[in-house]
Amino acid sequence: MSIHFEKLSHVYMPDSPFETKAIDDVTLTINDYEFVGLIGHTGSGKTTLVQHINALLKPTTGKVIIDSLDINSDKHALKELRKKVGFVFQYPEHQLFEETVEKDIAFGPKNLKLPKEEIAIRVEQAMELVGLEPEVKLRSPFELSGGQRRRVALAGVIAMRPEILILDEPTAGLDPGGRDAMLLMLKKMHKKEKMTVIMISHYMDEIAALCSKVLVMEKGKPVIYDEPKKVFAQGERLAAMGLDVPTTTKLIIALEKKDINIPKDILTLKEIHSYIAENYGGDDSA
Amino acid sequence: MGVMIVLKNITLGQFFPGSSIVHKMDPRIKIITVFLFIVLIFFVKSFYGYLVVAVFVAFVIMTTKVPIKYILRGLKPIFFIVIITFVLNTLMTPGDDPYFSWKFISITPKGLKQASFLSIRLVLLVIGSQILTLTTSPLGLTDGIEQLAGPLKKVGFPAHEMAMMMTIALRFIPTLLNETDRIMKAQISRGADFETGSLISRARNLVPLLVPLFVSAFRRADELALAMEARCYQGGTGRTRMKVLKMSKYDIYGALAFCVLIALIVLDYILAA
Repeated sequence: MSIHFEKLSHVYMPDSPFETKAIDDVTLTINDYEFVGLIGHTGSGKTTLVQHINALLKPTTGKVIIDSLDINSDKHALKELRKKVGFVFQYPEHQLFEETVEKDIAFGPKNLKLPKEEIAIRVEQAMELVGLEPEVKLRSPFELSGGQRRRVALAGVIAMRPEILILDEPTAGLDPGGRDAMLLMLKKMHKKEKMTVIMISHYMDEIAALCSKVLVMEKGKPVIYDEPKKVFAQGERLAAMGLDVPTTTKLIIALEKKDINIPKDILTLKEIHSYIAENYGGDDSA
Repeated sequence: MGVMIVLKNITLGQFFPGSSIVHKMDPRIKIITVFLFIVLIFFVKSFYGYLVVAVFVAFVIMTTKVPIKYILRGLKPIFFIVIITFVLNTLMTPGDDPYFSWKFISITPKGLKQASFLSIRLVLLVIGSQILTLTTSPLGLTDGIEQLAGPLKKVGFPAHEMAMMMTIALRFIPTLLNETDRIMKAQISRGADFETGSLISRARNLVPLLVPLFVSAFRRADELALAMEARCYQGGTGRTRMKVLKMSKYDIYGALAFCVLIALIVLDYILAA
């Protein structure tokens, strides 16, 4: 599903001494089946922006249009909308509440008033998709490890079969193994379920590895929206906004000082490797 | 959606940041002044006395630069109490020369006077304490209360512990509100409904919000206790402060202004007697 923001602005606590403009006149279109990486400094309005997509926040002015439907125009459309937009919050494991993993994952589908059999199937599939063993079904989510709990929370959102999936720092606080597993899972899910995915992250390596587009926010405005290669080629501009570049880009810059020039729009180690092999000779099997 | 909007708009306490003389006064002096002010109001005997107090209060509000609507907002909760007090006192006070009388109900000059005095007193009382909470940060307030209650420690009153509890509670209100907001949004995204349905089903629907909230509150309490112990917290004895409350010239200005008010009220009291 495509997402279109039209002159969207959001003001927190209007008419008080604490008034802040979190989103400032955003007009932007995100196409269907895009995997968007959303980056920006803390307080740049990333979370505020994405919370408009399933009407958790209402625009102060402007519109949010999803598949040609203005989502704030019709109150009854809300339920339908939330069925289609899955939202994984920061530290989603904090939202678990049920006695068993199975019941917690079933919470969403149950709210959709699906038949029992369908719920059971969805729970099973969601668990498989996030890589949870069927045995944990009957255990309490509170006795699982942090990484496992996060998988449960993610499964709870996946089980609703959203067409748009929003993830707010899905790998924050995970160990490197857990992080890699999470990213792999997201990649697979995006491919298999044909979802539009928006992922907020502070790890540029993740963004470079997964995303088809990168959206850079600064002070409530989207300043760059382009392919990762083109975005990360603008290292200085990103640094000025307090943002980083992926490790591979850093490698390219380091190699440049040794007179090995690799175009900055290369993003994976593999590509760097073959570029060097091709242009600077050497053993390709290394 | 209503609940979330409420959550978003809660300001902590009702502190209105500023840099006026009143803001800069020592919280202890302010607390004592407000306490005396409340006592003083009950000694006012005439309308002129109330006029003086009202002018004084208006003057203080002007110096604080707090918009008048914030002060009026604070009066909203007592609006009905004032009305009821006024009506009851007007109707129920017996006296001479009634304007109107029916069975035990009568409107007399004495009743009217008593009713208006009481209502004015109530309003002034609330405005007085409003000025204190609007111009003093919550932390300043608890600090002030702790120090003022210090002498009571001798008789076993846990002044420090009370203040510490208040400080921690205040510190965690915004944190827990944020947490509530986030969990609520997360569950709403999963199709939870917090707004419609019967009372019982609505109460049941709160479970997905309350369980995670309790879990996280306990977790935070645990972490905080650990962090405090790691920094050798042992209660109030022997503890020094980073920001020591100090009196300044502003406290003298404030106290002087208040003394003028006291003098005028005493004059009013003598004249009326």
